[in-house]
Amino acid sequence: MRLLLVEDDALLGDGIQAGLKMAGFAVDWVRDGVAADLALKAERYALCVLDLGLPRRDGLTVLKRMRAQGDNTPVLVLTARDTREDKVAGLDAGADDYLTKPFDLDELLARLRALMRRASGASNNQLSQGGVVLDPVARRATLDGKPVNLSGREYALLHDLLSHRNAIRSRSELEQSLYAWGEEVESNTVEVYIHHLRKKFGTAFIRTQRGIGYTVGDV
Amino acid sequence: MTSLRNRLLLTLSLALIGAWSLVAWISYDRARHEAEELLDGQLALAVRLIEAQIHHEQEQQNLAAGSTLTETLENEGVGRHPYEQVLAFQVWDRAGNLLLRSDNAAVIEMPQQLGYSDTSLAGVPWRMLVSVSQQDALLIQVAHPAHSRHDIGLEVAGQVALPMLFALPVLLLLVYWSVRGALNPLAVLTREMRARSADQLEAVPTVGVVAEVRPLIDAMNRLLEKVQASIRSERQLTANAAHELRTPLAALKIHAQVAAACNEQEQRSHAIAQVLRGIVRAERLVNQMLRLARLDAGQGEVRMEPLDVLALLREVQDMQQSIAQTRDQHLSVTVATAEMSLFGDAELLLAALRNLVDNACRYSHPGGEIILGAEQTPAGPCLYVLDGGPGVAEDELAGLTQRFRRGKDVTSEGSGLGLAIVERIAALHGARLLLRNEAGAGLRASMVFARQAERSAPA
Repeated sequence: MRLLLVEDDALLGDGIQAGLKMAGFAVDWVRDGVAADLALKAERYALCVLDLGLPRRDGLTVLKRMRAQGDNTPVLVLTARDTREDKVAGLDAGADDYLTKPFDLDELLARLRALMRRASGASNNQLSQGGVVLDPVARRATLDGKPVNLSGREYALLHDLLSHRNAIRSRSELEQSLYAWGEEVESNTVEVYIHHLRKKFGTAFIRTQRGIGYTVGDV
Repeated sequence: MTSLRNRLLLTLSLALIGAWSLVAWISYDRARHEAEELLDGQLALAVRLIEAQIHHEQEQQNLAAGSTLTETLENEGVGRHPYEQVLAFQVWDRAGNLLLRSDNAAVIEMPQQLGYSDTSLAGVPWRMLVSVSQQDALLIQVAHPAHSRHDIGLEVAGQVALPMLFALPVLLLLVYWSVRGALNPLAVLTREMRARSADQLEAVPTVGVVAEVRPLIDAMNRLLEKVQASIRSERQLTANAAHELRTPLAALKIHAQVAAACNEQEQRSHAIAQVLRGIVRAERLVNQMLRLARLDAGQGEVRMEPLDVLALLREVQDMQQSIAQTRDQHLSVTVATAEMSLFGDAELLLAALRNLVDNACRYSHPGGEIILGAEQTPAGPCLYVLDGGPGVAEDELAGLTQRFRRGKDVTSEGSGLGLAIVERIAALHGARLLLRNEAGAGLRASMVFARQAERSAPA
C-alpha cells in the first residue's frame, strides 16, 4: 500500500514513517504543503496522512485543492488542534478521518485500515479470494484455514492484488504500490514475488494477462 | 445611582410647577391691583351719589341742622350681587355736625385728611375715601371693608390657576412619557446588550439609531472589535501552543511505540535515539516556557550594571560557536565603537543574544556568515545579529515575536518562543527589538537601548 505522509516535524514524521513501514506501507514523506500538492499530482496513493500546520501551504488548502481536482484518495488529518470548530473545518474540507496529536500508533493504523476498507466498499477488514484469506489487522494470510508465512513484500503484493480483485494490475502499478520513493526497485522484482506467491497459494491463484498485468479473481 | 430619566423628570417638573406658580402669583397681584382701582372708583362714585342725594335732601328740607339721619343699608340678603360692596358712609357739615350716616358706620372723629386711606375699625381693615363737596361744603366719608379687594384678587388668580392645577398632572404625565420615549433607544440598547452571550461580539447595528446614542454605540463597537481581536489572538496563541506542546509528545509516543513493537535491532535503536532527541527538545521547550514565564513575572527586577560589550559578545560567540560549526557557518564579532557604555543585566542579555544567534544559525544557509555586533546609533546603543540567510517575508516580520509563532515557510524544531523571549528581555531593559531584512544580506535582529541615557544617569 503506497501512502503519502505530509508532516513538517522531522522527529514526528520520522516516527510515523517508521511505524507505517512496520505495518507494511510504502511511505512517501513530504514536509510542506507545496511538496504534498506535487506528490499528489505525480502519484496515485491508497491513503494520505496529512498534518494541518504545514509550512508554505497549510494542510486544509492542500486538502481542498485535492477534492476540487476530483482526487478521492482517503485522507486522515493529523493535528494538534482539537476544538470542535477545527474538527468540523477539517471534515468539511474533505477529510475522511481526524486524529489529534499525540496519538497511538495502533489507533492510527486501525483508522487507516478502516479508511481503506471504506474505500473498497467492504464491511470487514478481511480480504478473500478462493481459499485465500488476508487479515490486515493481524498481517496474516491463510490458505484453506492454514496459515501461510509471507515476507513483507509478499504480503504487500498479496494485499494489493486482493484489494483490486477482479481487476488487472499492471507491473508498474504494482511496483508503485510496493515501493516508496528512494527505494531501489530491481528489475523483475514483481515477477519474483508473483512467483513466490504462486508457490504458496497455487499457480492458478494469480493469473497473468499477457502484456497487461496480473489479476486474482475473474475478469 | 444618578438616573438621567429621574433627573430630567425632576428638573422638567420643577420648572413647570415653578413657572405656573409664578403665573398664578402675577395673576393674583394684577387682579388685586385692578380690583383696588375699580373699588376706589366705586368709592368715588358713592361719594358723588351721596353728595347728590344730600343736595336733594337739603332742597326738600329733610335734613335739619343739628340732627343726624341714620340710613339703614340693606347689605345682606337675597338678590345681592356677589361683588356688591358693603358700604359705610358719614357726612358732616362745615361746622362738624354729623348730618348723615349709615348704620354700619362706626362713629369716629371727623377725619382731617382728604383722599383715599386705609384704616382699621374694630380689627377689620377698611378702605376709606374722604371728600369735600364744593357746593355744600360737606365732608363726606365713604368706606368699605378692604378684604373684598383681596377676595377679588384671589378669585381672579384662582380662576387662572385652577385650570392649570387640573392640567398639571396631565402635563407631568406627558413630560414623563416624552422623557421615557426619548430615552427609549438606551433601553433598547440595554436589552440588546443584556441578551448577548459572551461570544456574541459582533458590532451593534447602527441603522436608525438617534444621533445622541450613535457615538456611544460607535465607541462600544470599537471596543467590541478590540475584544474580538484580542480573543482571536488568544485563541491563535492557544492553538500554536497546543501545536508546539503536542507535536513533540506525539513524536515521543510514536517512537516509543515503534521501539516497543519492532523486532529489528537497528530500527529499535534508531527509534530509541529519536525518543532521546524528542526528550531533549521537550526539555528545551519547557525551559523556554519557564524562562518566559519568569520574565513575565519578574518585571522591573533587572539589574542595571555597566557592561563590557565586547566581552559579552565574545562570550555569546564562544557559547554558540559549536552550533555554528555543525552547519559550517562562520560566527564573527564586530564592535564599531570602541567606547560604548551599556547598562543592563549581563545574564539576560546573554540569553537574548544566544537566542538570536541560534535563530540565525537555524534559519540561514549552511556555510554562511553570521555577524554578532554592537554599534552606537542616533537612537542609542545597539546590539545586533545579522545573518546571510533568505530573510523573512515582510508581512511576517511583525508577527515573529508572537509566542509559538513561526514563519510560514520554515521547517524547524524551535520552540517558537525564542524571539518572544528576546523581545521580553529587551523590553525589561527599556530597549526595542527590531527585525528587518538587510539588503544584500539576510535578517538583521537588533536591540536598540533607547532609554540608556536616563537609566545610566543615577548609576
